[in-house]
Amino acid sequence: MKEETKKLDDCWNRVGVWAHSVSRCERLKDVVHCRNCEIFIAAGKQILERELPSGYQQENLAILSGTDATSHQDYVSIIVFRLGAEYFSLPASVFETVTESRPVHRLPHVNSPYVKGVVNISGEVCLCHSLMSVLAVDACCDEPEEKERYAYKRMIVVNLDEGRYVFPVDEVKGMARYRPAQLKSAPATIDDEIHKLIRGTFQCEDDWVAVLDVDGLHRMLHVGSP
Amino acid sequence: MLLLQFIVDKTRYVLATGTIMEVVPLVPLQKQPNAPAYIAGLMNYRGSSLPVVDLCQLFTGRDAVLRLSSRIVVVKVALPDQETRNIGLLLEKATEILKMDEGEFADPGIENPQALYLGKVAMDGQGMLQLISPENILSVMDINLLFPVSSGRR
Repeated sequence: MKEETKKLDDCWNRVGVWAHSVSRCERLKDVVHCRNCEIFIAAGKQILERELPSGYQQENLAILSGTDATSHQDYVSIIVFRLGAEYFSLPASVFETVTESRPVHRLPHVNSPYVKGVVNISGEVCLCHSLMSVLAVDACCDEPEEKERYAYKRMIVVNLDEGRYVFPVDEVKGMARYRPAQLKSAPATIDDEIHKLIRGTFQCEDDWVAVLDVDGLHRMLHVGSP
Repeated sequence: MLLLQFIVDKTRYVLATGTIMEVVPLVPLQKQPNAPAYIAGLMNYRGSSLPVVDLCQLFTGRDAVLRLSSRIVVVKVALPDQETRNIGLLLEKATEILKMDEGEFADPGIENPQALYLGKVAMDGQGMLQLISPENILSVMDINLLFPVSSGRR
């Protein structure tokens, strides 16, 4: 095995992109970077031809012999977004798309406090609701960094119980997963009606994320109470 | 179709990924004395015992070399009585996934009753590769040895 390693010609260090010399490999004209070159790929595969490190099989046994009690099914996938200074989330399954912020056309004489107007989502006219007013989040903030983050504004298009809703959000953070057992109840200080919209909160990286209740939110927008 | 390539003595073979349940790294196997040489042993697969067949031994008569590139592939096979069972296949150099069209495979023009598991062949830039059908691996072997009637098989 050692002989094989010795024989290995590290041309990528001699004449390739990691070389300090001026002379360059002919192949670079076609492949641009060594990582696209067959020689480099073949050399990389040689790594897998090594003998087994000690304890390798035992380590795999420990992983494979378990009956896989915490299956992936226990996890719920969510998409986390920011409104003002607070993070909220909805299940990833209800998301249709996330688009850049678009102009909202106001509708006159609409008495719902949550409707902002209509918006064009890939050619379709959709009602745009303000999650901020539903959840009574302050638009905030006087912090100077908030101005820089203006560029992150997005619109999320979600499908709640066969109804399509568009919400402007300040930022879409990305996907996350939680186990239902992880959820902690939302702080008691928040308004009772809004409390019903929040299933719970959990810590995602450094921020606390509130998980919104899909049914409650749908009722809130449709009927006016959760 | 997606194919998992493995190499036995410089000859390339492929398994259709549709037949594969899982590719797992090497684990210690429980040797079975007096069993045919191609039975590499039994493995603990998520708490149940799974027979592992050494394809290298079956094809060439030598044990598979245990390197980092050697893997155990868990496949689902149908027994003659329509029941399906999992078996493990110990493969050498199982490191690559290929994407090929089913139409690229042609009949090899040779049919060896001793090796019915050898299927159609295809050609690409690096030479030839041959499809292996896990179902027929079993027919070559003694099924009653691997899945005895007494252990729940009707």
